[in-house]
Amino acid sequence: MREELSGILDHIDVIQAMDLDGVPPTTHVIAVENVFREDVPRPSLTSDEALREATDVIDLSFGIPRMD
Amino acid sequence: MSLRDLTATQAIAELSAGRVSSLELVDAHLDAIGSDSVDAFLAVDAERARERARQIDDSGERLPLAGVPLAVKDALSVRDVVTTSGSRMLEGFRPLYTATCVARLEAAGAIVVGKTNMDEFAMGSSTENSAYKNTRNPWDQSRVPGGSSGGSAASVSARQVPWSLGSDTGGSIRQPAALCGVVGMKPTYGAISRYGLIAFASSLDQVGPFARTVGDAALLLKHMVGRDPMDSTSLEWPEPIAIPSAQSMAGLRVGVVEELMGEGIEPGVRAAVEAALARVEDLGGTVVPVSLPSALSGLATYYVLAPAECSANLARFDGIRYGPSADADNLLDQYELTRGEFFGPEVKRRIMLGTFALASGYYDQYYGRAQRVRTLIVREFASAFENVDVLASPTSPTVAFPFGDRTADPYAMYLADVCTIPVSLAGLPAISIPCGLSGGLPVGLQLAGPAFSENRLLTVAHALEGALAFDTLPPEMAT
Repeated sequence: MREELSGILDHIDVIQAMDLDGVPPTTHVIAVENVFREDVPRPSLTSDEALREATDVIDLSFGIPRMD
Repeated sequence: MSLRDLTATQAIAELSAGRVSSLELVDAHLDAIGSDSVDAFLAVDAERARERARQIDDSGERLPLAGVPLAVKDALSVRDVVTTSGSRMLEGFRPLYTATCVARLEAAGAIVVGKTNMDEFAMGSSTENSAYKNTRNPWDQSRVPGGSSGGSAASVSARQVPWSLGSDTGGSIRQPAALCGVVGMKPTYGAISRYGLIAFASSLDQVGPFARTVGDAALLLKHMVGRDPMDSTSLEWPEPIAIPSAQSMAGLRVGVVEELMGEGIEPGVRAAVEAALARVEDLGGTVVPVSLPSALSGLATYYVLAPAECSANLARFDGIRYGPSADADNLLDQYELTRGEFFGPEVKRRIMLGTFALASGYYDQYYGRAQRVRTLIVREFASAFENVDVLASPTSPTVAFPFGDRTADPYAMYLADVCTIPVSLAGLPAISIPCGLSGGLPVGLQLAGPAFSENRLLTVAHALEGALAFDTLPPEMAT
């Protein structure tokens, strides 16, 4: 894995040699305005649904092992 | 002619005329899937599909997509249908909601028959990174179908469904479409809601159609585009997607990307693309050379940006809220063991590459520079489109390659997307159509246009499709 990653980084390094003076970064390719929606209540998942795929459920919550 | 040979448009006409029922159509395709010779599917929900077909037949509803079977890439959630994104990390996972694009097609009458195989979390170009199985290319079963949406491409080519959905981050619709000899389209970034698409790289991911004709691809696209409140990047669509009918390319200027026709492109691929470009002139269009000097830097740029984004997106897989989990007696061990056990090698490689590219001390050198190269690529496309209407190139530098050919060298696999990635980085729409054969294997022609130029692209692709008259039936299936 170490050799593979080094090999990939060698290829990626072509961008180090490019002249990027004065070129701004792209943050979004399609110009869009900020999007807001109306803050109105709508139906959502029930607790049982939200927990359906969980590995462990404790008292209507996701169960996890201890943290230490 | 069997029901499997009908295009979706033909099937809709047969259904509308009452010459065939939706159940007959679904059963014919389920039979084809049942004797699946290419292993395109990860899950088939025959009962759900037949039940929906019966409902449509009984109600007499005249829905626009009227009971036509559809296959869906396993990266797209369908409520209660196992959805894995090709990963052990989601083995057995049943989503609680359906992706907006799938829900829109179902509302229009399409019937989901199953989920198709893919590279794990859409990372790959051969579908060999699926945690479950290999999908074979219907044109040569010793070769890959391309990827990551390899199952969706192979299922359409093998006539198990008339059309299907894929997702495309750096070429994952267009490249397998090219390798399997079908039509595949990645629309403008934001054209189709990604709500319910399992995320890979969010500044690039788009959903799109596979079909055997440009007209069918247009029809599927027409029913998916537009704003969805559940995806803040989805766009109001400026004009309806039109079903193309043009036979001429009079007045259209096609730019050939010089950087994508040179070294690294197989001679047989270049010859097929050049032959297709000669047809552009027969149809009244003009072909001119165009230079995108930074196009070949796209691959390196992509392999900074996409892993960086995936390293953030895949942080959610922790084995707690869904998916399998490793046994551990404290939380940190559970995270580490779960991710170590259930992610495959390519996913781990990209997460590590991405976290490295975002690390303090390396951020400017990698992620920062890549975002700036992306700007150069965006500008070069914009400048090219001042002089031409569409850009043409091969979709893939090679035809379908044998299994195992590139799995030992990750970068050799990455090169499969060298022609599709620049378009993705610029967020532009592009379509791949089959344009000929090289050594008996399909070659794809990629046509790209400015943002929102889907109707123009479909028109050009349709006119060329007519002139090329490519036979999408793989020879093995003609017997």
